[in-house]
Amino acid sequence: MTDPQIIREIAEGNQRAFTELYNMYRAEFIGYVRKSFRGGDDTIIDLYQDACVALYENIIKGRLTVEQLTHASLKTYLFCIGRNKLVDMYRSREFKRRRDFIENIDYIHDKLPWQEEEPSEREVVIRQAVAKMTEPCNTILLKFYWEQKSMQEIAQECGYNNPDSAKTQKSKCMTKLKVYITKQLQRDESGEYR
Amino acid sequence: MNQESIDRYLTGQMSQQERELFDKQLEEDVALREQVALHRDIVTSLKLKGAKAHLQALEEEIAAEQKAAAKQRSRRGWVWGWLTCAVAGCLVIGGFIYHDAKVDAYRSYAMGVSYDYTTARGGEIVDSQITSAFESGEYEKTLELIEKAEQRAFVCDDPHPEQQAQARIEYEIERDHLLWLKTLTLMRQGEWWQARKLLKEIAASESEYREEAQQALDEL
Repeated sequence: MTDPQIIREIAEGNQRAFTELYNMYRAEFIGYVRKSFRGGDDTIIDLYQDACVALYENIIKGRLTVEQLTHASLKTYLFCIGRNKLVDMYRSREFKRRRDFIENIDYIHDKLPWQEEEPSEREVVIRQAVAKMTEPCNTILLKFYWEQKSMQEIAQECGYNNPDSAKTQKSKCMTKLKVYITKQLQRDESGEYR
Repeated sequence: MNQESIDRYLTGQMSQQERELFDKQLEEDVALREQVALHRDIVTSLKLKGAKAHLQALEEEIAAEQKAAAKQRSRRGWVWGWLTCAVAGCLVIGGFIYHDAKVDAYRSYAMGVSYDYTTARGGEIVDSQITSAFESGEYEKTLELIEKAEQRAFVCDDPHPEQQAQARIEYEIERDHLLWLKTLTLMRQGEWWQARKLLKEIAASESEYREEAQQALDEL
């Protein structure tokens, strides 16, 4: 699969393209990070996963498009994100103390077509709410939005009587999530807990 | 506005007419705009959560595959290990058989070699204690006496140079005989490994036994 194909497929929600991207550069990325980091493989793999998810986010948000591939390859963007995440780790107190780094490393800013920035407070609240989701909402919402399964498939896999029951459950979950998030955002705006 | 309509709008599933109508509603309705924005942000977060979980599951699969491959390698390693042990065992047994055959060969060869321990004038070259111990089969004692004799340094009280040179020659001849006798003793004891080293040493020297030594090496 070529770089433009991967971007197009991921933007359309194709999981296979995302899996292919992950497998394509996994070994190379581990070797690349090992040049400056002597920590365990688990940490490097976690870092690579975060880099892949960040790249995925930029694709689905339309920040990284096929047109931008004229400046650099998908691999360059992926490794650049990964390196910047490694620098974040390097600058964190925990890793400075552990002396896992072989050399001093710094951020790469000029190669990315978008500005890397910390998630906004709103994004943090939403991500935390989504992370805390319990069953059955977690499964049904992930199956619908991430796996892009139909209500028919979700009903069969999750044991609902029919697609309408699954649809009702999904709607309830989404409403519950929205209400929770809205309340959290209103609390933040009013300065509660500050 | 129901969630299904927002989903259809965000995923581009609406018809041209539906989309235009929805866009118009969005322009006019601030609350709907906020609702759609929140819906989109929640969907993005859900996708990111799904993506991370997907990669973690993928990694578990990779780890399981690597574990299975390592297990297979380990099983293969066991087979090779057993084969190596079997080969090593054969070599050890073969080595013992070879060793026993060599002991017998050196022993019987040495038993067939006579030691001429007198000079042309009938004098003894090496101490008679050594030769009698050798003849009577007291090989440990023979070796001890030879060792003592070998440690004896050359001494000549005669000031005449010719006599000194003669004494030196006799001393060297005695040492050659001692070495030959030592070799024969070791051969009779079955110490073929040490005996062979001495045979090689004698064969390479100017000793009067060098030809016998070479012959023994050739035959053994």
